[in-house]
Amino acid sequence: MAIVWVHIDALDSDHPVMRRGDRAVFVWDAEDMERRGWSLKRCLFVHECVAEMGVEVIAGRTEEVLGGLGEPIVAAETPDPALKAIIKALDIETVPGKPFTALPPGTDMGRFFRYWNQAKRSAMTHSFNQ
Amino acid sequence: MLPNDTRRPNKKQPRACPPRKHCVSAPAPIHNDPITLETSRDAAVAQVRALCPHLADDDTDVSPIRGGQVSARDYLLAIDPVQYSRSRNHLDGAVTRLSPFIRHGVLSLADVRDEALSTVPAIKHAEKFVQQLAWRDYWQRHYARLGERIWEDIEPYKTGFEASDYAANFPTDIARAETGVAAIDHFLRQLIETGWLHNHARLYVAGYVCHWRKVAWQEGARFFLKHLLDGDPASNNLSWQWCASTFSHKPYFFNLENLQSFCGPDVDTNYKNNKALAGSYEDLHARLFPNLPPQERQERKPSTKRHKRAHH
Repeated sequence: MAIVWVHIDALDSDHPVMRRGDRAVFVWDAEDMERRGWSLKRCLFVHECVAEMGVEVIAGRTEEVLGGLGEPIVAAETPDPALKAIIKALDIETVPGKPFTALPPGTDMGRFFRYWNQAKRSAMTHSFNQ
Repeated sequence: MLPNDTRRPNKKQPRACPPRKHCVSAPAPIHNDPITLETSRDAAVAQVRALCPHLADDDTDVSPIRGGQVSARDYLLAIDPVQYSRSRNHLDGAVTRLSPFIRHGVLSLADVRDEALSTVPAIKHAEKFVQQLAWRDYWQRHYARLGERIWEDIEPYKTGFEASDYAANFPTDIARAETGVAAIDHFLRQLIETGWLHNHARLYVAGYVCHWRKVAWQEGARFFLKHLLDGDPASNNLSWQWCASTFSHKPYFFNLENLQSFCGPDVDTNYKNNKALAGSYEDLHARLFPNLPPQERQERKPSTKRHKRAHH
């Protein structure tokens, strides 16, 4: 089993990635929060989400903390470029979340309604029926 | 250009984006041992302050929206997709306030979609609701492709101005909710004090910042990301670009009559306190975009069709 890196884009005990490890770690990276420009209320909201999850919390720079854990790491997929850079640097395996919609390859993303015309059928279908 | 002119000198140069490592505070001490997070709010606030030395002393506002799955479930069970579709553009409409939880993955879009479909008598009644969820999915897909380029103009402005004509700093009076335009100041105070703002109010603020004040959308986007609990560069920046016209066919603007038709009684929309917003659409178009051809006179009812991107 691996260590699950719980990051700011997936504060969900029910995310599929949580079933892939036997230890879950959130890194309280104050430098990253400063870089993102977050106010007190934003940091507090994340704090409350993480506290309720009951996962292990370690303060420090994310890459240094994770790099020092010495175990394979898995994490939820994310589009965030800063998180993706850490995932790439530490060769972290990613796990997708619950699917919202299925798009055919080559879908025109130039404007929303071109996307919606392709996404609508699966987006309007309950997960049980997908 | 004057020596102290803050406009961007080179329109092709990307604006500064949040990752600015040179201005990060001295590193906080690294604790290799796990820490235990406080669960009462007062203790949690004190702990966040201790863990985040960069927070300013005057940054004291905390949101009435609490983080966590218990809180998220309460909001989720309260959704009403039918009422939402009827009233979502009104500032006192049946919006859900789920966006902070969706942004941080406490709830997935699939979770919310499934709950919405299970509460309606027929699937078609949830379509508007699910379509608004899809906006987030749409923005996230763009973010995955763009990365940090999400801070750059996707297309040129369609306002008759160059990108370099827009101020590259955020005016202090806007940051302090002291613009003198009563409705805008109301929205800004709500943003600063609660970390949440109705989507329509976000559009009003963004339109005001970009077109009345000629401030670059990046500056407004960064201000929103500081305060919005649901702020993420995907939905936030691309919505700002939509208002600015760098990701749409035309700039988003509004007038006082439109504002009055969507605001509840708690917002001061009196003419004498909002004069800058008053006027017909064609008059405002001529005033805000003097380099563009005049807009043809048209009966423009307070429309919901230009307000697509609800933040649930």
